[in-house]
Amino acid sequence: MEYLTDINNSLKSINEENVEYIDLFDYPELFYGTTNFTTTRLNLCKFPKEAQEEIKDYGAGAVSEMKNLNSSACGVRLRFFTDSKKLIFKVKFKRRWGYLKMVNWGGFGFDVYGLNNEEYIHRTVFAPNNGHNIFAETILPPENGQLCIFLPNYNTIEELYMGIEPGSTIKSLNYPPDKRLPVLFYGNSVTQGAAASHSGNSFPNIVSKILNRDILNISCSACCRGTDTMAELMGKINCHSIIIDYTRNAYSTQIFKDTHEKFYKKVRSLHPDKKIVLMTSQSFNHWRDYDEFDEIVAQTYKNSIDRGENTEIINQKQLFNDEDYDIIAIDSTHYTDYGMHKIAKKICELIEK
Amino acid sequence: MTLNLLTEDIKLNMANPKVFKFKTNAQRFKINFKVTDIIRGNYPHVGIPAHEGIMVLYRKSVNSPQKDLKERTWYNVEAYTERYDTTVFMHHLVKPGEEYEVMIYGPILSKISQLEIEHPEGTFAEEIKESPKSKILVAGGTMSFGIGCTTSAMLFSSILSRKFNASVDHLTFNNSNYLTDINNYYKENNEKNEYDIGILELDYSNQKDELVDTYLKNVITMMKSHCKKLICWYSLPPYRSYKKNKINTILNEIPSENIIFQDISYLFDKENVDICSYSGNFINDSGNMLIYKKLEEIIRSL
Repeated sequence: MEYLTDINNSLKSINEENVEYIDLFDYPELFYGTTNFTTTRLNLCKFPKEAQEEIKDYGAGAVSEMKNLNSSACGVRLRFFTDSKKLIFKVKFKRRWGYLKMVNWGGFGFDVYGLNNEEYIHRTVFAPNNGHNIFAETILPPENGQLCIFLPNYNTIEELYMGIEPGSTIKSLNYPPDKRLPVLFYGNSVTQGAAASHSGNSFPNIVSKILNRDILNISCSACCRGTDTMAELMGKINCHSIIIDYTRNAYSTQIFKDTHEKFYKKVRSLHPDKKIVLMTSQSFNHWRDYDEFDEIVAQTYKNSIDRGENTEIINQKQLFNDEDYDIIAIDSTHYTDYGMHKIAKKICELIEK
Repeated sequence: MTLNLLTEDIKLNMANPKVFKFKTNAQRFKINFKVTDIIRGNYPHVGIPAHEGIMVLYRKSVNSPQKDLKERTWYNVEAYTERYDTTVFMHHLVKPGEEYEVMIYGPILSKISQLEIEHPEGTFAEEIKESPKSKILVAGGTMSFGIGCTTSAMLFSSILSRKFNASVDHLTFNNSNYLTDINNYYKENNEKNEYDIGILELDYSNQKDELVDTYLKNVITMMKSHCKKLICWYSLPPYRSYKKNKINTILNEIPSENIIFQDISYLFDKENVDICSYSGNFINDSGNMLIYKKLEEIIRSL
């Protein structure tokens, strides 16, 4: 990896001979998992202005997270075929310092997978060290030229260039026709990707890999509040199924009781037939309030079933043994890759039912 | 009121990360700590808490009204660095007046130079000086050192220590060619410590082959002389599987009494590699968890 002071700097340690750069922001068709399909320039922001502004009602922490992360590349994949034998990425991030709960390969990583039919084969992950936000890295495509790169879940990409051999082909790599309707995720910091060890291992991204299906992840740390604005946004999106991971960002049990079923019903009214999966809280240290939250989620689920709706529930705590609570998450909440994988497998089981 | 946890015993012991334990009935307390000697370098695969912070866990006290064994399980509370407010709020986890225990793991890439617990008047906080059930020595390189972990609580040796109530000494080095370092330690120190269990990482994907030829047999012999049981393990990616032949040949030359050998290379099998590793050279938190699970199985069978 080479660190730069300006993204237009020539590289000193990486050989740029015979390489032409393209501005990937001019190729939005190569990116999957965004909400802006028809622009001529890539726009990674998934939160409408109203959703960003209403967050001020939820405290300074939520405001800060929304301001920093509304355009993070959470859940976004760069998928393409190329016959270039070498690729050089030049990246400018918004943020240069890592997060407490994630390694940089997790929060800031470009997680590179080769594709062999529907199999995802991990090739490498790259991310800058703390203190750096402009950098270049070389990767070698696999022989079949098919790549799926999971973009950083916890940083905003301000500029992104890809160097390719002159005359090379770059073509978007679509999902199979029956896998193009995305699974829609709405959640908190865990759903956004903390604390996966590399970006491709957030549970929404693992779902995408297991099913070889498109996903859309509109999660933002501290900002999952079950608002009407977000329900309206979700209502506009044509999707395969919906995963609602709304619990722990609610400030109190009363607020959660007032909002959880209301939010679910709003989403359900806009997607009357879609499979909706409700998730209980990620809480692995017997924090008392979250037991009450989980009862509220269970009641929302029960009421939906009584109405004959297409709803499932995942009780996250019950997927793990109590004696393993200290090792399936790096703190009381944020899953390791093992935890992420377990959740993802359960989601796949339920949405494919 | 303050309680100093950085005692001379802890300063001098061979643990890395350092482990601090106390019991209290405070609904909140503050951890005043400082780190020094932060090792700088390229660590996008090490979490900030493991690098230069602390990780806090809790469990109910043996005097707790709930005698259920589950209540004695350690649970994660929070990670901190010096930059953050280090007040720990426990009122969601324990009842007022309830006694509980706290464990704090220090970092692996820096040193704790101060660690005090500040607790409110009317509450108590007391260092826990317990007798561990067993003494374990963990020796190895990058994997055993904890590179790849988000917090120090996720090292397989840390998990072992709290699940088995064991004290763990570390002879671990953040160095691909760590067998040289282990060998030199035994050469330069008149080692007197005796251990119930030794756990030796036999080789690492990027370690020079000639070092295995030169030092492995002696390292195993030295460790065996200080450990009642010695668990020898490796976890090698497929492109380094040739190393297994050499290691197996060396192991066959050593009397096998009290040595248990375990190949944990399945971390790099198709079904595990994406979950457990970043690459053939680095395992992550989940990789450490799986190594712990295998070691747990072995230790329980001893």
